[in-house]
Amino acid sequence: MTEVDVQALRRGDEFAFRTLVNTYHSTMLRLAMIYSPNRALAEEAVQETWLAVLRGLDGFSGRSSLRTWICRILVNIARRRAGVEARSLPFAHLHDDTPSVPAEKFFGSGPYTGHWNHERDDWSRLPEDRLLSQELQDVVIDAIGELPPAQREVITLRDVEGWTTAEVSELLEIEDGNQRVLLHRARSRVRQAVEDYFAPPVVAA
Amino acid sequence: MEEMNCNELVERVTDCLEEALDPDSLMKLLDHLQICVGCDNYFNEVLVTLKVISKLPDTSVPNDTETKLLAVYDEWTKGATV
Repeated sequence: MTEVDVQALRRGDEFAFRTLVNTYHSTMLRLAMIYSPNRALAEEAVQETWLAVLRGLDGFSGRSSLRTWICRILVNIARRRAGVEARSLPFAHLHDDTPSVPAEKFFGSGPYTGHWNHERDDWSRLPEDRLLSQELQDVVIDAIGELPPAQREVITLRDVEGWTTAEVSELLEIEDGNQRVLLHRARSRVRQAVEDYFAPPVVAA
Repeated sequence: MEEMNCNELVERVTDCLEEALDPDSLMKLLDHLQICVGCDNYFNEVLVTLKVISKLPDTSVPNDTETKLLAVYDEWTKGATV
């Protein structure tokens, strides 16, 4: 959205508003879902956000991008509705020191300590249609859904929505370094879920 | 110069992709990738995962929501409190 579009919104241009709603709905719903127990309540948070956006539009200064500004309103509303302290979230899970890959996947002793103790599958041989399957998408959606909220916020914005580091740091008010830690944890867990889907872990009988 | 082990490399993948590694660590990581098939595959697993994540489908606005919001917008443009 450009500055011109903001002017169009203020003028009452219905097309501009419709475009805005359709452009950001998906992002906003994904963010709202992080705090909402179900889809219906997430939709409510999104609608409440639009009201707040209209009320605040005349005061929008353009210091942030329009989408950052809108999404910050959304996050505040969704967190408030969920009863989450606005600022308590981002750091709550920073001290998650679960390794990206379980320690038993590496040699624990001997000359190869710290090296893989098994061969890893070569995913570059996987056919494209397996990577685009609905089933795999559901695995990824579920894995993201199970992440702690702070990790889920970051991976949703960065990897699902394609936001930049700077934009995410601004919206969530976190430092780039903390964002990287959260992103790393999140990506590692989702990668593990995909691995488990391609090659289900063997459960001892 | 001490080499980077596989279990260390997997913790630096995001730093690498985010271009946040210091030159020394980056060199160690790239050197390791050249000689370790396991880590090369692991790195690719991360890239494949990111590709799947980036292609998740968007949801569209439900019709009744759009109608409701347009009505609110219409009120707002007339100067009503929304």
